[in-house]
Amino acid sequence: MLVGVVLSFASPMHAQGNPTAASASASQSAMASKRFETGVVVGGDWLQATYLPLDRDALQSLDASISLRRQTWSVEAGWLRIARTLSTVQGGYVAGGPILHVGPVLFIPALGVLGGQAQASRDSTGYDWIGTAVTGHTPRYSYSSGATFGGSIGLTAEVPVYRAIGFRAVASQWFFSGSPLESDRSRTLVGAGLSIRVGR
Amino acid sequence: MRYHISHRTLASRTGAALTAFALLSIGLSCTENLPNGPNTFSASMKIVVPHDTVIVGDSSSAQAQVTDADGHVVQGLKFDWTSADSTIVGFAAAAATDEGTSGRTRVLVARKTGRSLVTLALPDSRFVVTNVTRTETSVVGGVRVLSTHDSTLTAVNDTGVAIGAGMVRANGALVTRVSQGIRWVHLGAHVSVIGAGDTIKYVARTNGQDTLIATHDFCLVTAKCADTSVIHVSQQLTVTLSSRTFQAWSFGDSLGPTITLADRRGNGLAGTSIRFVPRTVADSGIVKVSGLLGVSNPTNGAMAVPQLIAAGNGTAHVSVLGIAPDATSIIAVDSVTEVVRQVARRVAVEPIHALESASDSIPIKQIARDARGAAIADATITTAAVGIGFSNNIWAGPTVIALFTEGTLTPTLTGLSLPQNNPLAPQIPVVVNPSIVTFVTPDSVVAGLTSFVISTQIVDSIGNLAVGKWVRFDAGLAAVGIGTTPDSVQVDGSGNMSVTWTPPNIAGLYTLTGLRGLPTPMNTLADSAGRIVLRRTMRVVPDIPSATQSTLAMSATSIAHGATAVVTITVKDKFGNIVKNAKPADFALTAAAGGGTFSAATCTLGVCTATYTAPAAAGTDSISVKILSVEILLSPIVLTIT
Repeated sequence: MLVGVVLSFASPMHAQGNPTAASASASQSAMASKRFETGVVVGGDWLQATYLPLDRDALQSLDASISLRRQTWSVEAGWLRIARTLSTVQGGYVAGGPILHVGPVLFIPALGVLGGQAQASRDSTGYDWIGTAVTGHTPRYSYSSGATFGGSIGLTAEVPVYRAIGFRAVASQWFFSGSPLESDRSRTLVGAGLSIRVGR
Repeated sequence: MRYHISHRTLASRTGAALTAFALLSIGLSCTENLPNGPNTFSASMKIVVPHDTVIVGDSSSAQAQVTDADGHVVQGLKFDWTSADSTIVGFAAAAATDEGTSGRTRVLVARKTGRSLVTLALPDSRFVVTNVTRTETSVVGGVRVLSTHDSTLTAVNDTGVAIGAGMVRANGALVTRVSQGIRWVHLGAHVSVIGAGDTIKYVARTNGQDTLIATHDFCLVTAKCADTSVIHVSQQLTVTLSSRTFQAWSFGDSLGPTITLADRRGNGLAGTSIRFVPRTVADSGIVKVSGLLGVSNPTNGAMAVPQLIAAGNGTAHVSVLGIAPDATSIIAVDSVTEVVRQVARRVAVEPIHALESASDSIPIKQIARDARGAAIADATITTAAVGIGFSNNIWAGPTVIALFTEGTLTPTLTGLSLPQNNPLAPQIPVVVNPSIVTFVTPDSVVAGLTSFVISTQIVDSIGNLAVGKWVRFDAGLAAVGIGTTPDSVQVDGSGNMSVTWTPPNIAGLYTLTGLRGLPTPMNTLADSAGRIVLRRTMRVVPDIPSATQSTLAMSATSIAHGATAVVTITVKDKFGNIVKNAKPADFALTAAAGGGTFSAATCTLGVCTATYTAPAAAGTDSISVKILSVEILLSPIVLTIT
């Protein structure tokens, strides 16, 4: 079983330039970033950026999470789906990591773990062929599914955009266990989503 | 506060939205549409070979090919190959390549002729295919007769061997190799064929020509798939003679060898024959050739053979010809020599018995005969006569009857024909048959009573009674047209012959000659020598004078008175024969009363004369002659006396 670590980085907003304006701006940025460095934040991301197009009629890679933040650290739990043309990994995950402030941006590096289901179709018994001046391959898929556990390391950059709503970018690298994913255990996710602070 | 409330509300709603979104996502994610299968592919499989026919020793690369439903050739499969009879079509060791080890390519090797089902199987559960088969035919690249293509057997039961072989591939070249299942076709019935396969034996049965065709049931179509061997059966016959030299001691001896006309295995040939041909005319004079004796046996060649019949003394060379069934061709030649030397078995003077008038003579024949009775022409014979006149070494008689009634002519043989002068001949003493001639007094009969019987014993040339033989007669009268000649008479069972001969009533001597033997012409003395067994001379004398035939004649019928004339009386019997012993007393000569007178008549050889003297006065007179009171012819004659 692999254990992943999710790193989230939050970038605090820092005031610069006119002291007054800067102070005001810094104050505003600080206040804005403070909205996400503590409390309960829910969010969701579209994570299909690194695997497009998805050559399958299925829901793309997504996650939905709820995190609890306390100034310097963040813990989040949620549901993660990683869709590939020939596989799907989805399940609940938990991740946690420090919150780093870089101006208004919060960077949250995190380590995470996931428990869920892995499904995969493998073209292990297809055949190659040769036609008239062309060659090709005819696949033959073997479908399997099973429990999987995974671990990740990731980085979330989150920036407030309006009141309790923030935009965030997510990058993570997952490694999964389970026989369906044999020899295909890593997944790289890059995506973007929204965060909403819903509680103190 | 409003913000707080607003923010709280917003947060609450957002959380609800996220929750709903999450649940929705989970729900949606249940339909993954991940591909699975297919379990199997439909495909077709085939064996690809350049050709299904492979010459023995040659190989052919076969490829296994699977085509999917789209017509694509599937790559990377592994196949299993099997041959129903790997002794006919097998597989070469798989090449150490992927193609070879996977079975995608196999090399078919033709090992011997025949057909074998090559099966290709695809042990791959992904593909729904059935095994495919292909009939591979292993053939020879031709047929060749290794033995002679043209052989001749010269004797029945001679054997020969025909060897056929198939052409197979070896080191890239076609070479002959036996044991390839050659099949022979036999055309004809002059030989019998034994065995089968590459090598067969044929046995000569009858003369003629057969053809043996070597062929093969599995042969490359474009190759020469038949080769022939022509077998001639031509018996070489030779004549084998039991002997080539013969010695005959008698004419008519039939001699000849036992002859076989057979090949060297002792088999004859139906329709053949043997012919003897004397080489020269002289040879033909020494021996004659008889017809065939016996029956030929074509099984062992024993032949019906003619015989050489001795016909002349000398040495004859005779060719012995074996004649083919076509009756003209000579197929074998040999020769025989026959020496003919007559050896006397008897010597005789023929006729061995004869009856003759003492006044007659007959020609005799001194003759020696061989064992078969043939005369020996060159025999040297001398004859001694006792009690018989013998002259010129041929004439027996005439003989003085007063001295002898039987004479003997005894021959003596000397010279080549004596047995002792031919040591190889049977030394049988020569029988001597002398000729015994019985004499009789010459017969005399009176005209009108001429018929009489003659009997005598007839003996043939070898001294036996000639029972049943015929004796022919000749009286020599046919030429003069008078009288009759007795017909032939057969000798009775006692060896006696009796003939009745009636000479004509004309006075004279008549001789009846009786001959035995063949009715051949008797133109020369030799023709009759020894054949005359009877010679009787008969004298016919006139009967008594007869007025009917006797005549009266006068030298003149007008006579002066007192003059004379001659009266002539010819005395004849009733047959007109002059009665030569007539006497004046046999007739009565008278004149009319007062007429003339006659002198005493005198008769000479039947003509009597007297002198008539006319009376003294003129007038007439009449002369009459009567025999037995009957006026003879021309009597009386009236005379005028002047």
